[in-house]
Amino acid sequence: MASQLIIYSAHVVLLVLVWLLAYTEVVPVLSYIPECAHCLVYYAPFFAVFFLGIYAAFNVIYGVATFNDCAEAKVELLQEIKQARAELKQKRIID
Amino acid sequence: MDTPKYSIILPTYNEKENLPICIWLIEKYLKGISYEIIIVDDASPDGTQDVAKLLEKEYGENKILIKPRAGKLGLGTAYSHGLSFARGEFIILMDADLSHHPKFIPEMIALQQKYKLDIVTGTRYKNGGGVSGWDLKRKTISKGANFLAQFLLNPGVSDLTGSFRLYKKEVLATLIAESVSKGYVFQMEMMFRAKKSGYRIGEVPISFVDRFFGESKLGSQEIVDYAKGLLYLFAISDPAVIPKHEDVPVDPPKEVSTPAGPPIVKSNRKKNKKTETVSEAVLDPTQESQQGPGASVTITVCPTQEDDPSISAAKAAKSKIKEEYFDDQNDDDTLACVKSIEN
Repeated sequence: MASQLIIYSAHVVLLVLVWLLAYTEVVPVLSYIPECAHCLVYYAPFFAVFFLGIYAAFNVIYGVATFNDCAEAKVELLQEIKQARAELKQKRIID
Repeated sequence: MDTPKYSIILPTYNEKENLPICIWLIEKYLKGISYEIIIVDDASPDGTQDVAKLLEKEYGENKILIKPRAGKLGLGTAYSHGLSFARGEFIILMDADLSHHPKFIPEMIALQQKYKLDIVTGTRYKNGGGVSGWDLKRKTISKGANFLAQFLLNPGVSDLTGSFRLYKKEVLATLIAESVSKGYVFQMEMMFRAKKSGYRIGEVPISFVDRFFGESKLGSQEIVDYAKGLLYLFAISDPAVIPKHEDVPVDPPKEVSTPAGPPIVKSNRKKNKKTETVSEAVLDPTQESQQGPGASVTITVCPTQEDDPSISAAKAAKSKIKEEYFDDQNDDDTLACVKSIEN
């Protein structure tokens, strides 16, 4: 089974290949695209990295915003600790 | 209720205050479930073992087993040490410092039984799981790290660094034998390998009460270790623990960090699907005690002989190839293991 590195590299290589084909006009994609969109194709890798960064940032921000702060768990735990300590003191396990 | 079905392994270090409360909570929430608790104490200086002895007297020697070790030898070896004494069919790993609440154990057990799972892991990031006591910075670091792990490794579980899990005994033994990382990267490696090996994994949302808020447990060294661990897992060439091609010789596992006296865990990759034999094989406690602390401990997981003669003949042929390979390696334990298959 291949490592994650190999799998990801394969994907990246494939995408770079496709981009190179369009860039060097081996596949005449550019002739079908209006002039203003040409720079999109030329700078596609930069856009890809940029959007990946945006995706990562949004993912983290969303994660932090929806982070579950279970405050009631702490309260409940402290309660149970009190109960436990009382019983354990009775059984002479803790002083 | 002589032989327990579930073994809870509690590695402890300086948990004199928390240990009795933890055990009290386990007792409270696991009524009616056949279990045992194995306390693996790494020679705590604060008297944790004395408290453990009192608890053993109170709850019975069938329920509480104390298996101490000579020094602070690390989490992975604590698990294997506890595993060698575990009588249960399933192993539950958790922390003894009350950040993991035992009330989730019955939920894990129920999920495992319902879907016949190999592993159930507690998750803090999904389905209602959460953490109490983290400030914004800690949350951001945690979510960032989790995103990175998800993106790079695609592990299939939402919480990769969690250590509140239930395993089938054989599955845990296999995973411990294969994983070489230290600390919490060890937890990540086990889960990553488990996922890539095709084990059935389920998740239960848990609430994690971090009692050390305010005191920052996350230094830059930890972040560096995490990044190194991620890259290591990203680059493992064969993460699956049940090999698909049995006659391919195995690379020895790489070590990620170099603490003093690292335990070296080697494994005979020739495991078959009958993994119940793995748990009977020797995760030998006597081996550990004969060597002094700081020496390397080799744990070999050795499958026992198949009954079918034709299969064992084929295996003998395959193992001859392996023997030549391991001869170059000069690895006595693995050689002995392979030789025993041959006979």
